[in-house]
Amino acid sequence: MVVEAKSITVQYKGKKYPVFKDLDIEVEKGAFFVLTGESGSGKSTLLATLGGYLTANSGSVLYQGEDTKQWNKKKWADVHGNEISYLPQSNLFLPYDTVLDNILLPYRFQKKKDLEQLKEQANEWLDQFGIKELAKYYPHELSGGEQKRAALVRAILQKPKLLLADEPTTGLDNETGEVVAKALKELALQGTSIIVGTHDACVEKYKTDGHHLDIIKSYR
Amino acid sequence: MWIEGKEVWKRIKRNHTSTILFLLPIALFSWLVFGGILVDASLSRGMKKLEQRLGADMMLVPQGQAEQAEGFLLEGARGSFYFHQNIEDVISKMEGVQEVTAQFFLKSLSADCCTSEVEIVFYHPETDFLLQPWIESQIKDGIKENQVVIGYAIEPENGKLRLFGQSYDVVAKMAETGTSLDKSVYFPFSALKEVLKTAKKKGAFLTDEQEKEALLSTVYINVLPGYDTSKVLEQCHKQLEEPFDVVYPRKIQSSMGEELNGIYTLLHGMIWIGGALLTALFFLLHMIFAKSRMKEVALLRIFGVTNGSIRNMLWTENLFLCLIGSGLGCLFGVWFIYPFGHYIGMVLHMPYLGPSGLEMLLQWVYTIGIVMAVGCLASLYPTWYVFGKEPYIALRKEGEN
Amino acid sequence: MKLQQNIRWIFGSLILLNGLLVASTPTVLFPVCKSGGVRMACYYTKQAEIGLGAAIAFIGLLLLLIQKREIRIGLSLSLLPLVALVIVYPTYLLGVCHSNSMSCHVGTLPALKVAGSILVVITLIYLRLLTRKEEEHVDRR
Repeated sequence: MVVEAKSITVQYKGKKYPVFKDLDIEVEKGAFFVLTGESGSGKSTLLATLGGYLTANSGSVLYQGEDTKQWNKKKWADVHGNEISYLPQSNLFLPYDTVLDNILLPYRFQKKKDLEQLKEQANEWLDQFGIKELAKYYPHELSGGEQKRAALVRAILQKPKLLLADEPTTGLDNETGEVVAKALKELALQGTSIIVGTHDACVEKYKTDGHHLDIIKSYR
Repeated sequence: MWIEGKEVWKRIKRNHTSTILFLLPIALFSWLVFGGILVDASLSRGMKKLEQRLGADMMLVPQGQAEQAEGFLLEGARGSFYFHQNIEDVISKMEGVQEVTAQFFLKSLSADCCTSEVEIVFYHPETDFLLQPWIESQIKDGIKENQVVIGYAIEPENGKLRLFGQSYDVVAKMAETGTSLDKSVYFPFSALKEVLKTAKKKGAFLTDEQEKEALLSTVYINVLPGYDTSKVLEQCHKQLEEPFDVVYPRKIQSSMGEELNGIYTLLHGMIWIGGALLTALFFLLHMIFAKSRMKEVALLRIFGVTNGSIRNMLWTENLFLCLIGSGLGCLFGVWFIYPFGHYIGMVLHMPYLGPSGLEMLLQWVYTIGIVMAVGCLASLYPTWYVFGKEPYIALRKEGEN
Repeated sequence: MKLQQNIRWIFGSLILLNGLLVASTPTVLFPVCKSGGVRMACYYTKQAEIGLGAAIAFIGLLLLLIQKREIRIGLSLSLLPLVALVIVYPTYLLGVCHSNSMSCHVGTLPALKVAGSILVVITLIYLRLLTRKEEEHVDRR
C-alpha cells in the first residue's frame, strides 16, 4: 500500500457534522483512484487528509506502512518535497514568481536537486501541454486552463510516488482535458499512485483499457 | 540562506504595493532617528566646544555691548567695541582675581586685500587661558613676531597667510567650532600696531576708534575658587573709570545646557513615539497582509519547503526591508537635514558642529540597529501567526470540501 | 499608455513645483539679507535664482502640456544646464555671503543645493523613463 486511511474522521471547526466519519481507504502502488461525488461531498478534504495537508480528527493515515502521526514537520517537508505531490483545486501560485519558477518551487529549496535538468524537463512538459512560451510569464497573466496545466506540470515533474489531483480537468476545454488525463494515465503506468477527485461528468476521461481504475462514489 | 535571500529579493521586487507600504514608514522613521541623532550629536558637540570657549567667570565689555558680546560667544561674530584704557592691569591687581586676559577685535576686513575674509583677534599669549585649549598643534616657544594662529576654516598657503600685503607664518590652527570663529586670525598683542599700520597703508577701512589705537575689546576674568564674583565686580565698578557691561559666560553655558537638555528630551521623545508608532504600524501592515501571506506559506509547505526555510525567508524579508528603508531614510537625512545643520543651530541659537563622515556612518549603523529592533519586535507575532493554520485550511476557499 | 500619461503628469508637476521652489527659496523660504546700500553677492544670487526658477517652472508647465515624447526629451535635456546653474550660481559664479552667521550662508545656500540636487535626480529619472525601450515582456492581458 502506498497510502491507507484507517477509520479517519474529519470535522471542520464550528461545523455541526463531520465531512466524513470512520472512513477507510487503501491505495495500492500504481493504482489510479478516482473519487467522485457532488461538490461538497468531501473529495478535496479527503485528498488533503491523505496527503498530510490536513490532520484528521481521529483515525490514522499510513504512508507506505508508516503511521504519519509519528512524523515531525521535517519528515513531512521531505515527503512533500519528494514523494507526495498535490494538484490543488484552485490554481495556487506564488504571484511574484514566473510560471517556470513556480513549477520548480518544490525543488528550489532543496540543495541536492539539479535545477537545470529539472528546468529542461519542465519545458518539455510545458511543450507537451502547449504552454511552453508561457514559462517566463507571471501566473496572473495566464488563463485558468493554462494555470491548471502549469500546476499539473509542477505536480508531476518529479514522478511522485503519490499524486493527489483535485479536479485536474475541470475548466479545461475538451482537447486539453484529454491531454491532461492522458498524462495522468501514463504517469500511473509508470508506477505513480494517483488519486483524482472529480465530479461525475469527468469520469469518462480517465477510463482506460487494461488499467486498474477504482471509482468510489459514496464514502460518507 | 542564499536560496531564501534570492526568493525574498524577487518577492520584494515584484510585490510593489506591500514593499512600498512597508518601506515608507521604515524610511520615514529612519529619517527621524537619523536626523534626530544627527542634530542632537551636532548640538552636543557644539556645546562641548562652547564650554571650553566660555571658560571664564566674567567678561567685561564696553557699556551697551553686552548683547553683541553674547552673540559673539555663541555665534562667534565679533563686533567692534573698545575700551580706551588698559583695564586689564587694574583688574589683575584686584583681590580674588585668579587670572585675567584681554582681547582686541578687528572686525571683518575687506576681502580684496587678503587671501580670505577674516576677523582678526589680538590676544596676550602670556596671560591667555581661553585660546590655549583650542590650539590643535602646540606652539613650542610661544608666538613670535610675524607669526599667527588661524581658525579652523582658514586655509593657509604653504604655511603662510597673506594679510594686508604682509605674509605671516602660521604656527598653529584652532579646532573647529562650527561658528564664525573658524574664520579668525589670532595675533599677539605685540603685533597690534604693526598690523593696524599695514592695514591703513593698504587702504583698509578703519573706524576712528581703531585709528586711535584703542586698547582692548574685552577682558575675561576668572575669580579664585570659592571667591564671590560679585565682590570682584564691586571692585571693578569702583576702580574702573570707563563704564562697562558684564557678561557671565559660564551662566550662559549652563542655560544653554538646559536648553540642550530640552532639545535632547524633545528629539528622543520624538524617536520613542515614532518607534512606538512604527511598531504599531508595522504590526498592522503585517496583519493586513497576513491572510495572503498565510496562503503563500501554506503553498510553500505543501510543496515541501521546511518551516525553517520559510521562517528564514520571513526574517530575511524583514531584514531587507529594514536595511533598504533605513538606507533610504538615512540618505534623505544626509540629503535634507545635514546641509541645514548650521541653519538649525542659528534658529535654535545654539552652537552646531556637524559630524564627520565616520560619525555619520556610525549614526547610520545605530539607526539600522534601532529600526531592526523595531521591525523584529513588530513581526514576532505575525511571523508566528502565518504558520497558525494547517496548509489545506489556509488555502481552502469557503464552500470547498 | 495610461502609465505614460501618469508619468507625464507626475514629472511635469514635480518639475513645475521644483522650479517654484527654486524661485521661492531665496525670497520666501530662506530669504537672503535685505541689501542696504551695498549689494552683496547673495542679492545677485537671489535675482539669478528667481529667473532660473521661473524658467524651470515654465519648462515644467510645457512638460505637463506637451504630449510628444521627443519634445519632452528635448525639454528635459534643456533643464539640465539650468539645474546646474541653480547650484553653481550660489556656490561658484555669484556666491553668497561668507559668514557662518549670515542666513544666506547657512540657509539659502544649502536649500538651493538641495533643491537643485532634487531637480537633477528628478530630471535624470524622467529622462531615463522617456528614453527607455519598450519592455520585452508584454503583459498578456
